[in-house]
Amino acid sequence: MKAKKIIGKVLLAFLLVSIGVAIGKEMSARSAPAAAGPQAAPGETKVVVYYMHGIPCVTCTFIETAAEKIVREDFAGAVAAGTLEFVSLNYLEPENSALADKYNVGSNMVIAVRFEDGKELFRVRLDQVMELASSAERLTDYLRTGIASALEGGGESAFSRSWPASSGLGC
Amino acid sequence: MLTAVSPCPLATNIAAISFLSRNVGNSRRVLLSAALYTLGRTLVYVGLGVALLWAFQAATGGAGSLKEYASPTSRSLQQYGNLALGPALLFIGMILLGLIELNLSIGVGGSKLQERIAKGGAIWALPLGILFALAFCPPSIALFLSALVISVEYGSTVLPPLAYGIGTAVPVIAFALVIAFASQYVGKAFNAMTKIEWWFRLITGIIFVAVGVHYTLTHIYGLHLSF
Repeated sequence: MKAKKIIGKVLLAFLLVSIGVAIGKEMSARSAPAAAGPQAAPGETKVVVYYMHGIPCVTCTFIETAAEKIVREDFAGAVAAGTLEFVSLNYLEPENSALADKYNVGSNMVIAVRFEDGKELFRVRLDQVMELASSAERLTDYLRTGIASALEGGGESAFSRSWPASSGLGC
Repeated sequence: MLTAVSPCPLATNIAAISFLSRNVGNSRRVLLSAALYTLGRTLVYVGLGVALLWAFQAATGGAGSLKEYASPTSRSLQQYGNLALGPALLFIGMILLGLIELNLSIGVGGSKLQERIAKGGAIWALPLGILFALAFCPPSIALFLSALVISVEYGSTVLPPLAYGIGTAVPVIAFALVIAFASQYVGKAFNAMTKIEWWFRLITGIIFVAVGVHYTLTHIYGLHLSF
């Protein structure tokens, strides 16, 4: 009975402290400064491939690894030249909420954003990654095509032509 | 069903199955609990789906991307649903184990809340289904939004989220059927159903506390213990 009482008190303390921590985190999150995303300097062209994720999961890690591998290996020349960059960020973190609002991020996705002369020119939204994650081949093809569209300057319309399934569910 | 078997919501499914099994000696009550749990989940998905589709239609006339329109709601559900789930499960688990004495009487009868949740009523499965449905994981939010995209494409507001809600509860329904029918034989064989029920309730409480601690550490303290 004594052990039961001790366990009860420990768990109750843990519960109350956790509720306090959750409230404290939420309060401080409201005043967190927004993180500045990568930009292209005047006269420079750059594509930033964002992997936006929330709560960690197996599928999420698989997508992140696949996207980063494609950027580093399939577009190694662009990475070396400084025209392509891979950025992974958590859209649930307060400092990334401005970026999540800007790109309308609500679930795990990859967005390839093309900057020219310090301004965003267009973005290619790859938001079917979770649906396609069951097939590594299709996921890789989807990501490679989308990133290439942003890098070659074709944009969303070029991507839709080269990946017709992008208008639907894609699976 | 893909949502139900993905590793992320597995912890809540295990908790739900253990919750239903606390009535192991009463097949009717186990099956009714499973039905109410499914109803709770389905109510959330259909309600949320209908509200999102209605707002999407009203704001954009159906043009544009539903996924983009729903992104603030989607983020809020992932953030706050999971934040609340850990402490809620921990609290329920502590009540089931009798670690918190609550002398609150609910409804007629005036018995303790612990007894009411532990021994009783299938009705508790309904709020549990609602609570679990609101805690979205990355695969579940992606598949739920895909169900809503199907709603837009085929002009069917209710059917895709309804099917999604039932699909997410399939493992729990399957286990409820197994528990309901298999347990009768186990109970008769050992002639000790009361004892078995007592053990199931204890295990249910322990699982709720364990899953609650897991969710609290993951979503409040940021310790990534997710599978």
